[in-house]
Amino acid sequence: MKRDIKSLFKNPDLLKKKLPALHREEFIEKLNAVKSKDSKKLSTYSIVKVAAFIILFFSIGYTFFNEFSKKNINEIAIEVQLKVVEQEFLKNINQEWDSFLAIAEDKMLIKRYEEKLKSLDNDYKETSLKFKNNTNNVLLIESLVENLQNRLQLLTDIQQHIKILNNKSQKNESIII
Amino acid sequence: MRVLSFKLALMMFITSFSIQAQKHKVYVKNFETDKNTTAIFNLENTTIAIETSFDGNVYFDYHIEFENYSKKEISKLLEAINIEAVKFEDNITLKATSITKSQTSYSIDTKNGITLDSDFLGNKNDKKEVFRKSRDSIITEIKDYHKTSIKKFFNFFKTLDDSGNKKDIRRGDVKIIRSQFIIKMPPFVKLTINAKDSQIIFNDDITNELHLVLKNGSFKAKMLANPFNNLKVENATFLAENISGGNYTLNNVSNGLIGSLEKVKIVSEFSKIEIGEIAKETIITDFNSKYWFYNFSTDFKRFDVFSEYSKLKMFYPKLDFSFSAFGNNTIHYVDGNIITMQPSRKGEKFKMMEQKMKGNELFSGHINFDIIHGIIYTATDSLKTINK
Repeated sequence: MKRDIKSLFKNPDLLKKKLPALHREEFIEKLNAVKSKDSKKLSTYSIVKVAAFIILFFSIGYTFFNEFSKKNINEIAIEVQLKVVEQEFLKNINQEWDSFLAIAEDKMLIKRYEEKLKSLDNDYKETSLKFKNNTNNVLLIESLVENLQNRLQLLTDIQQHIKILNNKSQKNESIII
Repeated sequence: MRVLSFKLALMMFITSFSIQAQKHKVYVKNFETDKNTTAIFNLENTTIAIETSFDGNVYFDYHIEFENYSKKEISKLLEAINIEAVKFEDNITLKATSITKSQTSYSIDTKNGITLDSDFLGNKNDKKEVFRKSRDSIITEIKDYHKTSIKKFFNFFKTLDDSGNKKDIRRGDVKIIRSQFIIKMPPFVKLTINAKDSQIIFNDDITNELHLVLKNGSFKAKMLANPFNNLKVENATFLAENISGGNYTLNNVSNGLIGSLEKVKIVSEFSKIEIGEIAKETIITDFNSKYWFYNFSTDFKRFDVFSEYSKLKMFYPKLDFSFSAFGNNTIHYVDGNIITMQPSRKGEKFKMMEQKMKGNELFSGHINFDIIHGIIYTATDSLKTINK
């Protein structure tokens, strides 16, 4: 059934057919109408698309920002809280250290305590660095607070010890049972 | 129908748990050993549990279980672990840097963050009245020690609600890491451990020669029996059910619990140590620690304490004994009576108290306290301390 399309134009009747007088104008009119309808459709679609994109962009942005800031706030919350705890403890430790110096007469004792507190302070600084990288780790929080408690406890205990020794009666006594 | 619903609920619970908790193999290796084999473990931020190996091999088996962690978080944590065990000639070396210094480690993931409960910051004052504890009760305290820590954790930390009020921690908000690093060692292998921020646990009675240096963390053992043991523990918890032989240096051990001691030399400072029973020939040299001596064995023979600025609380042996206390600038509370020894200019010590053996019953041993600037409390079953 193969057929050469050129053969159609060899038919003389076909060539004699004429187009209606307003065919060209009507065609152009119809074409314009279709064009404007399409362009109207296109612009509404674009607006919806852009709007959707903007909404999506802002919601992702908002969610991300919200989560990010929430996370930061949480991290900062425990860090701030620990900072307050630390400052309170250090203030008390310094006060206890001053009152310890006021009652301690033994230089060797003062030196041993100075060394011990310095060593604990170095440990604290080391643990603090680890905590900054892992703020939700309970073990690190515990270590930091225990370190501060330990320093304060050592100072209050030794003062209590010295006071008990100083309050004893002024006699040397011995008992043989 | 009700039984079926219950079974379904149970199945769902078990399934959800297994999804939340994921166990990962971290490191598995083993080596053959002989009587010349020695082992050195260098640990940082690592928890190990040592057990006895009965087939002559050393086994390293490290698994970690993660609960409520995402896959991404798990993979990041696993990447941070470095473990390497090698054997060269007769020496096995383990080098481990891990992610937790405790068998169980917690992180809390909540909307408004966590807060410390005020109880956590409270001062831990000593009780004014102290009662005699049995050796077995000290051993029970040792066994339960870490269980109490978990309870403490849930009590001391709180979460915050949207209004900023403290709320109890919900189990679902807690991320848990359970570390199971089990090392099996034959009893003849000499072991050296250098550890920092680590937890070392001996699950079985150990007769290996052990040399240990631990800074920060915790140490827990059942029986440690070797006359050549040498342990140095600093800023850590020290728990041992029974120690026989060896030298122990305990520095700033804030939670020291020892079930019983025999033929041991302890050098300590800035520590708090409770001893369930002094068994035989124990010597303690101390600076500024608090000790509780609850009981003595029926044949402890001799117990010496040399100390400065120490606070000693001792309950008398139940059988016949003798006791002498020498001191300078020391105060001794004896069953409600007070004996004092003023400081002498030359720092010489005087006899504060001597209690001779009665001679009419079995003699258990002699207690000798040699103390400068010390406070001693001695009593039969309960004593009241002075807290000013």
